[in-house]
Amino acid sequence: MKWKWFAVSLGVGWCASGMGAAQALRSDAQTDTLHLAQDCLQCHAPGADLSRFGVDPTLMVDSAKQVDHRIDPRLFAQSNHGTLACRICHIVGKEVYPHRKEVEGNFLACTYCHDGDSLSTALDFAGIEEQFKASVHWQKNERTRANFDCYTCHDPHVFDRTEETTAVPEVIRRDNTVCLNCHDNPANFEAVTDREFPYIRVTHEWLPNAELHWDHVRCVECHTPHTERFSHKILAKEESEHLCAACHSKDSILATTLYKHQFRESRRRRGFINAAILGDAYVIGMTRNAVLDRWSLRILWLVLIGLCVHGGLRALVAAKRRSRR
Amino acid sequence: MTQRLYLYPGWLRLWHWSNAFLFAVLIVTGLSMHYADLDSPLVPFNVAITVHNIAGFILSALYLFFIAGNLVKGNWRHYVPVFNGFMGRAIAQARFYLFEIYRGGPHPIQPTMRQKFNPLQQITYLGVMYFLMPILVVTGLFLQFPTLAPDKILGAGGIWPMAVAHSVGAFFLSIFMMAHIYLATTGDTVTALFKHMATGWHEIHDAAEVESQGATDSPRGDS
Ligand code: HEC
Ligand code: HEC
Ligand code: HEC
Ligand code: HEC
Ligand code: HEC
Ligand code: HEC
Ligand code: HEC
Repeated sequence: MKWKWFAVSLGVGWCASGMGAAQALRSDAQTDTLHLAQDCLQCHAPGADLSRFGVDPTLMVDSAKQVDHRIDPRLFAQSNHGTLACRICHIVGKEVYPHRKEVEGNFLACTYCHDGDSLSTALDFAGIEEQFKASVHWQKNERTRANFDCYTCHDPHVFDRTEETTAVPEVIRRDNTVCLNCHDNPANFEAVTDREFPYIRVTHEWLPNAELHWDHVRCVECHTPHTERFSHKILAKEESEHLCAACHSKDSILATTLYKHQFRESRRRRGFINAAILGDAYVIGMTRNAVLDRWSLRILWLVLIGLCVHGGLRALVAAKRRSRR
Repeated sequence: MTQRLYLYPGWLRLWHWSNAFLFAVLIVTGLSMHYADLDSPLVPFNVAITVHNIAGFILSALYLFFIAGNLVKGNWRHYVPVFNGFMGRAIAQARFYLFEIYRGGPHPIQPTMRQKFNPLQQITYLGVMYFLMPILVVTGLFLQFPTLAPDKILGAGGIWPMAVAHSVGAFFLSIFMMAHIYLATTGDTVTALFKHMATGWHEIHDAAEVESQGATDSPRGDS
């Protein structure tokens, strides 16, 4: 674990910022707390008044040049890293502003910090890294690989891991936003690859009501192996799930993936098999009413037997009558 | 003497037999979807969905055609029950199906140009064509265009009430279809009624019986 390193760098940064921060900051903020997120957010929060520090605001946001260095303080505070100081990940240099040149792209891999402690084992960071390196985004194409890392999908200032209590529609929205950010946006897609942008609306034409599916099911349901713990191995299109009955059947994979937490609590409600899903969706073939199914089968048999007996008797009596004649 | 009544005009027979065929297709594909299974599908799910959608759509169109035909040609009259003595006739018909049929007794109620259904047929067809069918068509359309369905009903996903109503309705229609086909063998011969529905001509063979029923114009001879 590299926490010792952090302790040292934090201490150094702390002293350094106290001594050499920009004039404006020195007069404005408590210099000895410059390592805190809120100090950086004095400039990096949306709506911050940079002129206070004599800094040109267009350096922070300039829509014409597609520049935007703002961080949403609310989302950051809610994120998994909301308690960390910005400077733990960002080595901005001795003077907070202007930042050191290397600040751009100077960041740490997730596994640099998450390595060997109990959290890393619980979440299996080593396994995740392996799966990621086996995924299409890493395997298929040199250029794509060069542009892909954990942060491509996980915005470090926003990432908030899915908990058991996260509502399923929210999970779907969150996870699909990650994928659609590129796969529904040619500019973002082409920024990381030289491949032609595939329009997923066209690619998924075989799937009826594709939009409805994307509202009720995650991309990764079909595009990763069906393991109980979410796998980071995004499969190539040839290996992706194309069988409807994978979800549309009693033994639907959704029970062990997307809805696994709900299913642990209840499988049956209002007589429905797989009822856990009922609040959010009705999946043909998966959501069945056990009571209705049972009774319909019984009635069906009764009617069939009744008709057979009736028909048999008729045939018998008719045959007798014929022989008597 | 054989009495021949042209009870089933061309448009009605066309509708009837297309309906029968579509019913069979819809039942097979519908069952296959409801009991979808990865390993042993009756019909692969995506094939079943497509076929079911197309067949359901045609069936809905045919249903409108049937309603329109009924209105224009006056066929709707056959579905209006005559309440006077209805129970008595219904019981007579039920007794026939349950007991007299074995003795080869005559049908208690013979069709006429005014009233081609016996009371049991009448209430069944009334329920099937004007209650179950509309439910099935409407819920089916909602399932085909799920975005039109209300978002939430009773705190659950909006399409499950549709789906449940659809499958329950479909179940009763399947039961109806089984009974209907079976009862179609209870004509003068096993195949007689099938022939009638193919040619449109209903034949009443027993002259004496025909006379006693007064099969020409009076609505119901036996009551
Ligand atoms: C005085 C205002 C101000 C403060 C305080 C400030 N920044 Fe910045 N920061 C900027 C501006 C303006 C930019 C835009 C690019 C530039 O001018 O370097 C920027 C850019 C950045 C970048 C992106 C560099 C790039 O080009 O991609 C990072 C990372 C960054 N800041 C981190 C921090 C951290 C961490 C802190 C707190 C320790 C902090 N900043 C405090 C004004 C500030
Ligand atoms: C867990 C580590 C971590 C923490 C904590 C963190 N950042 Fe970052 N930050 C990163 C990484 C990694 C990147 C590069 C992201 C990428 O490649 O898309 C980044 C990028 C940035 C950028 C450049 C974004 C852009 O689009 O130009 C700014 C600005 C920034 N961070 C500011 C902050 C501020 C302000 C804080 C504190 C409120 C903070 N960061 C906290 C890891 C972190
Ligand atoms: C600078 C070191 C650092 C880096 C880089 C970093 N983390 Fe963290 N991470 C932490 C610390 C420290 C915590 C504990 C925060 C807390 O408990 O408030 C944490 C917490 C988390 C949690 C919360 C676990 C939980 O449920 O309690 C997750 C998930 C997580 N990190 C994922 C990531 C991912 C994914 C990346 C890369 C995209 C990453 N981290 C990069 C230091 C880091
Ligand atoms: C292609 C996009 C993508 C990339 C690249 C990616 N992830 Fe993820 N990651 C996701 C998605 C989507 C989830 C959400 C799964 C969920 O909702 O449980 C996730 C979840 C996680 C979680 C939480 C797992 C849990 O059990 O709660 C961790 C930790 C994580 N990722 C780490 C990483 C690391 C480390 C890397 C780099 C090796 C990485 N991710 C790369 C998409 C990605
Ligand atoms: C940063 C942009 C980006 C994000 C985010 C992203 N992808 Fe991709 N994805 C790509 C690119 C670029 C390719 C093309 C890879 C290649 O062929 O070089 C690709 C390829 C794919 C392919 C298929 C490829 C094939 O041809 O076999 C699938 C499937 C896929 N992504 C699924 C996902 C899923 C699921 C997610 C969300 C968890 C996701 N992607 C997130 C950029 C992205
Ligand atoms: C029902 C399962 C399913 C869902 C849900 C699904 N996909 Fe796919 N996807 C597939 C299959 C199967 C293929 C391969 C199609 C083929 O063979 O052409 C595919 C192909 C792709 C491709 C490759 C396109 C190409 O032409 O190279 C991408 C990218 C992709 N999907 C992204 C996504 C994204 C993003 C989502 C979520 C919004 C998503 N998929 C949801 C099953 C699914
Ligand atoms: C990854 C799981 C998954 C796969 C694979 C999948 N579906 Fe679905 N499907 C769903 C979910 C979830 C819904 C949402 C139901 C809702 O809206 O409540 C749905 C809804 C539907 C609907 C709309 C239901 C309605 O009532 O109108 C149709 C039609 C459908 N799927 C057909 C298919 C077909 C055909 C395939 C295969 C080509 C397929 N699905 C594959 C999960 C899946």
